[in-house]
Amino acid sequence: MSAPAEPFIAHEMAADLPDVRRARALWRNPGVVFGVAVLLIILLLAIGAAYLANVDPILLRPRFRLRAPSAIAWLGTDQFGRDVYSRVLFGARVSLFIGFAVATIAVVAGLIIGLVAGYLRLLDAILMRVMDGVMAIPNILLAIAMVTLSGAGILTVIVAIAIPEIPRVARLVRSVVLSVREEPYVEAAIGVGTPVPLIMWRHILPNTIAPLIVQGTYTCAAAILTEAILSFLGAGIPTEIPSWGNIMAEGRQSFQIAPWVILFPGFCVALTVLAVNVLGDGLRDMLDPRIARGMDNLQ
Amino acid sequence: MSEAPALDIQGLSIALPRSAERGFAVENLSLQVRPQEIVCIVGESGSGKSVTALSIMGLLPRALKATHGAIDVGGENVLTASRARLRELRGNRIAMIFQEPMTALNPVLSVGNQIDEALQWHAANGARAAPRKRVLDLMESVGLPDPEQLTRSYPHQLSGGQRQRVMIAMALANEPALIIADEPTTALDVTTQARILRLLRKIQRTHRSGILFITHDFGVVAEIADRVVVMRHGRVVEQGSVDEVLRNPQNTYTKMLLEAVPSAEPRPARLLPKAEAPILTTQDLQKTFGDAFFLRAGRTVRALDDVSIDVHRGETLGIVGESGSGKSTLARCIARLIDPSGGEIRLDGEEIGNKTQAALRPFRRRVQIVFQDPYRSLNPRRTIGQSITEGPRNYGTDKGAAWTRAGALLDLVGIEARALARYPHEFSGGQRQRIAIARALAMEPDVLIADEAVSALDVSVQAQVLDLMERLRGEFGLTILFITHDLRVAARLCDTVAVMLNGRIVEHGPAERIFREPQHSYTQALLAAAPKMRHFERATPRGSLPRIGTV
Amino acid sequence: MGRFLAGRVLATIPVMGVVATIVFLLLRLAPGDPAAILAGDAASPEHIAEIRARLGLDQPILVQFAEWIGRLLHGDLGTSIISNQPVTTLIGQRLEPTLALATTTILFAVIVAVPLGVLSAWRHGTWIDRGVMTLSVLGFSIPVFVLGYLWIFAVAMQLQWLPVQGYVSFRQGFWPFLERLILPTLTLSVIYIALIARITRASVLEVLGEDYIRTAHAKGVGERAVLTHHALRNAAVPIVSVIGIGIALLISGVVITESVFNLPGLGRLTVDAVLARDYPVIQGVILLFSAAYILINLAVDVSYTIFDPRIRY
Repeated sequence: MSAPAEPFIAHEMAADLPDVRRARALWRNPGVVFGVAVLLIILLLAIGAAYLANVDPILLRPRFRLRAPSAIAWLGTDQFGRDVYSRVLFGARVSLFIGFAVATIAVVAGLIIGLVAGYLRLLDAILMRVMDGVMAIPNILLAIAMVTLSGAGILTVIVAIAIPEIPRVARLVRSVVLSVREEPYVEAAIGVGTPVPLIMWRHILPNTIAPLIVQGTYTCAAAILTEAILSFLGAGIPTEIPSWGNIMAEGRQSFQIAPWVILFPGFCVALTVLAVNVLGDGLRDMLDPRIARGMDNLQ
Repeated sequence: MSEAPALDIQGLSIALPRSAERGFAVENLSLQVRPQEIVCIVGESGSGKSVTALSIMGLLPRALKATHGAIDVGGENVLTASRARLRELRGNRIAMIFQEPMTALNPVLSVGNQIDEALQWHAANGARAAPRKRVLDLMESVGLPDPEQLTRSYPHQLSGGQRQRVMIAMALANEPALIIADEPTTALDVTTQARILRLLRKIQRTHRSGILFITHDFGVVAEIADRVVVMRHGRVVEQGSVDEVLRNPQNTYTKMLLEAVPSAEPRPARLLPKAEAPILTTQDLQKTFGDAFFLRAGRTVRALDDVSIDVHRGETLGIVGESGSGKSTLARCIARLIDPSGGEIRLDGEEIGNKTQAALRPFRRRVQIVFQDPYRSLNPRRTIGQSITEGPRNYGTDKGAAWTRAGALLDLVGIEARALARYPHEFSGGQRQRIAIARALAMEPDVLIADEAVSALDVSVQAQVLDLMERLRGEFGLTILFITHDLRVAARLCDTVAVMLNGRIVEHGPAERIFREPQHSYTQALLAAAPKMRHFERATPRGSLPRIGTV
Repeated sequence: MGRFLAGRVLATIPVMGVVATIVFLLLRLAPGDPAAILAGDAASPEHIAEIRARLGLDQPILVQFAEWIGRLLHGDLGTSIISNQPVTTLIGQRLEPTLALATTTILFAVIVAVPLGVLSAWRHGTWIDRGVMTLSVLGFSIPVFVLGYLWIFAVAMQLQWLPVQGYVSFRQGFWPFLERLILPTLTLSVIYIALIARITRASVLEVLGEDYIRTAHAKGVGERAVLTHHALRNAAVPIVSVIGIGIALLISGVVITESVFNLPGLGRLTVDAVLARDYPVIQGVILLFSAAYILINLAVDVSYTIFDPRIRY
């Protein structure tokens, strides 16, 4: 009943535009550009690791233990004489892969659970209590328990990191479904006899895409961090694989004499996660101003 | 009248940011408000009336800048005042009442605290005599019951009218020279609106303040204004005494606006084919909303309480009521968007109130609904064509035929058929509402439900959409259920009217009878409260005799 | 009010139940033979059988579940495979450093983050705002332990201002106690500060756009009073709520921070248990932390009624 707002300033809110025009507007966001650029560079380094590396990353060279960064070993060597630079290059592969895999699993599983919970009242209560329970268990501890019980392995680590992320995605999707369901255009679709599956597909699902992309990005960042932490604590990727977390775990004892073993891979983790986070913030600002960052991406 | 004006605006221009569709929000505006005078600025959306109000308060959004002119309040130009001085003036020499009393009060502070704050910030150093008494006096003077008790209440515990009274009390706190009221009754029910307007007139008599009253409603202007300023696209198109402007408008835009205002006069009865059985009936329809949840006592609301109506083919039934009366619930039950809790809905004799969604399918297309909010009733990601053809395609019309018909329908509602490929954001509110009507018509319905379908539109647009509905009704032999809070709009279109109060129908009959001889006391109250322009029946170009005004 | 409280307390029961069930199922649904994995690579069949018996894995699953719930209700978290001590005793011994670190971190984070967030919202769009937000994204992106090592490297090793590692109980003097908590607190609170500052900024910013803020300005209320009296009070609920949700973050962070700084708390206990594959201890710590999370969030929920008069049942 309120009088219409006065449309003075052309409110070109991205959220009101059709998807194509929003996608084009993305490239004007500095966060998106920075994030994509850094990630592309890291991705190229990871792909080219075999060519760019100076030494075999798992080659033990007892005579070259704990060398400081120099012209020969650019980022120094660890306590077994392995070349930190080469190991960090290969570590990028593990981190990017895990980040991507976890985000995909969490988004797909969360989407399904969220859609079901948002549409079937009966299952909603049960599913959401289970989600509450999973969320109550601190991520790292749940992952630690799973890895301890099933033995170290990339797949185990991915699943162990992904499961605690699922409830956040599910809750997000559910809230989108619940709010979009009340939109007059969805009621209008019900009114013109559109069947429920088609309403889901046509009118509701498209509204989840933008928040899911954003949430998926944050999940990816969280996963890269979690992997580093798990490996660092000795409950992650098998130690023979040079992941960033593993490289740092092996630098622990010698930190006071050889800090580079931890600091360089640490910098890589921070830069990668930063790029993903900044990309996520940019995407959120452009695509979905409704999600307030913070509740998501808990380490 | 030689007194200095409370407000004197001279040649005010406010620039819009470069990206906007026009250069100025307000252009070369001059107006005066004298003490104890009520001046109304009338205009539709985009006219610049609210921006004018905010500029006087020094509360313009950052993107807007006053570039020319002066706003003089009590001998001081607020445009050049420092931030600190502005703060001293606000709430002290100039006070403001906003449109939405629910959101304009801080939800986490008590009412007394908020009124007291208005006093606190402008108290002369130390000299504060009995502030609490002053708060209670203020609340008393705006007609709030039991001030003692109310000071400790929070805004959500008050009714809409009471909240607006609290706002008025805050505005009066420091006896300002000027009170700006920005659409202060627009969000209120008619009966509440009438009481608030009465209160403002009382304030005009008992206080020295001048009042600048912003509104889109000429009915309200007729009720309250001493002088009128009509604005359009940021410019004043006409100003003068309320008598001059309402009786004898000079500007064509003013004339058009006045034409568009629906009067509470019922239209002459149409000749309807006296139909056999009614096409749509409800029998003792009930809807109860509740949160009966385990371990929690079910607090339930009876939104519909034994509602029985019948509508004949071709008839337009107006369902009129204030907020919370259950009128929209009734619409949504009949459209079967929600399930009724009891009673029957019959369409051509067939019970549809208890059918499952699957069994409803054949009936869906016969009852269509148009919603209030034109900005949310079309999916922003789908083209107009996709939205209009969605229904027919669901019922097996082939794609080509559905699109051809969609084009024809768009043409019929006054939008060029080429627009089918465009997205909703490219259309104005009125156009979107036309598109929503076309979508409903594409289903070839027997019954069209318009749920406050014109309430969000400007008067001139509203009049056009009402004209359209009237035309289509004849062309398609539509039966219309017209849900509205506005008696004047109902009078414009409806053959029969049902008045709802607290989920019940208190009166139901031919429009003519309801408007001329209302039986129920509530209907009488509603009619009395509806802002009327009757006193100002205009001198029409044909020169019929104007009735004498009573101001 | 009593009804509301009772309702909230009751609502935590199913969540606690779900947590207990998940922890129970973790061990039973693990791929392969968990007893063999826990026993280690070079374990004898007898050793594996012994572990299986001690964890009760040789009984029917429903019996196991009933016994498990029964023991939990009696406060029995099981016995360590390695030290043979009750898990509750082990936890009791390690509680103090963890509580100390968590308390200093929450206090420090809230004291720093809330004003930063408010400032950032107030000066929205300026370089102050951008600066705070950039730091906040950075805070989200640095792994906690890398930050810990950076502090050690800079403050303890290069500048030699503070002791590198270790823990001294407050009973042995307040300064030595505090001195060793400074770096861990700085480490752990960074991500928490980033989180709270961000939410504070977002909520205050949202509130600043509300009509009642405009009303306050229209009344001539001073800028600072608008910010604290009107805006912050309304933004309190999301801020308090994120402090509660952030507890999960804090708990994970504690585990890592303690191992970086060699604090003999629950985090160390967990990491040692992981390395020794002492599953009953891991399980006990998970249950304890999850319960803490649920209870803190219960307290947060109840505290809403203080901040917002509309939330009252």
